[in-house]
Amino acid sequence: MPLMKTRANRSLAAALLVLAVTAALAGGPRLLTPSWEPKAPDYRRHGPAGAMAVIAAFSDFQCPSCAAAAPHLKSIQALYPDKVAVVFKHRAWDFHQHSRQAAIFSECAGKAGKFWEYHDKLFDTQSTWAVLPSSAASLPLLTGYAKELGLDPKAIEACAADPATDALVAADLKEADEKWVNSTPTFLIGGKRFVGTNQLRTTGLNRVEDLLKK
Amino acid sequence: MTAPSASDPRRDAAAAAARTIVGLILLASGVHKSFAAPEEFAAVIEKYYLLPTSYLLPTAKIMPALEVLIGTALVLGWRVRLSATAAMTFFGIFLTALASTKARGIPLEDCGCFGKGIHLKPEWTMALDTVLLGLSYFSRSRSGAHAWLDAWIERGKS
Repeated sequence: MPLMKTRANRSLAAALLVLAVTAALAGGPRLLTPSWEPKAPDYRRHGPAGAMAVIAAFSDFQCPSCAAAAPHLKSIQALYPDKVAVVFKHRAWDFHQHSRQAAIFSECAGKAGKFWEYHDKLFDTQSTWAVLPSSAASLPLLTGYAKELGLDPKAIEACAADPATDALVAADLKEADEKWVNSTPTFLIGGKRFVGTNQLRTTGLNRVEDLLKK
Repeated sequence: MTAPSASDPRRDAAAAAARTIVGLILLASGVHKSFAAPEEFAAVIEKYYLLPTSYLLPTAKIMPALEVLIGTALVLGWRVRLSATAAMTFFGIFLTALASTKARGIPLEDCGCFGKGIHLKPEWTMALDTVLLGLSYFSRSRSGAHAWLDAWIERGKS
């Protein structure tokens, strides 16, 4: 008797077919999200050179959740100042009209040696500049923050107008797209992904502590 | 148990169409979520404040697979009564979760129902889930209608 003639065999074959389709459609894509260690210019790295745990933070300066997560990231670093480093990655959203410009200005501040100070300034003042109606309206504020940090406003503006600076941000956005970073803030810690403040301060912190034990 | 009337091909065709629509929507939803990191869906589920933290990531991993499983079963017409019941349970859970956030005054910008990229307001999702619940019930009531795999199994020798 041919194999597929009986109801029992057909039932089994049908179940296997449905399960195979499910495994291919639901499980297959998971294999396409490889683990990777994001790279960034040195000025976007904060912490010791030989850190045992590196947290790559994909963030957007106009994103309120990113501003809320920033103090938690600092707390984790403060717990292990000699062992944990943070690498900032731009994930400026198109639908946030000031994000790209803020990211570009942060790059310029970084090239002038004040990336993290400018980073903190942008998040601290987010509710001021992020609500402005246009990029032109936020420009004087972004330049003003650089000036407050002792940076030369003219040099910062010239840097911001340089397409090479925008290319640095664009490279991060391309990487984020390729690696399916579709939510901010997203943190990569030792190849594992954590999304949002809650995951960072719970399972993310556990991941950091696991890496420190190795 | 409702006995399907064999002499109503139009109703059978409508039930098969309803089943296929529900199945394709579940498939699209599950596949779309599968093409994103589960941690992102876990962050969306977290905003419902219904599950303990330790359950969020496992739920975010399992739910898309279940959607694909039920969707595939409905599209292929396999175990239609069971699959349609599972779909109804799914939509019932989605509706309850969304209604509970409304009742508790939790603002959800995006229900996360279709993963990232497709953003639906919770109100629209509740309306869609209600329609899909109805379609699933209709499919279940005429489970034998054009159920391709079930019919193939049925034709086998006992």
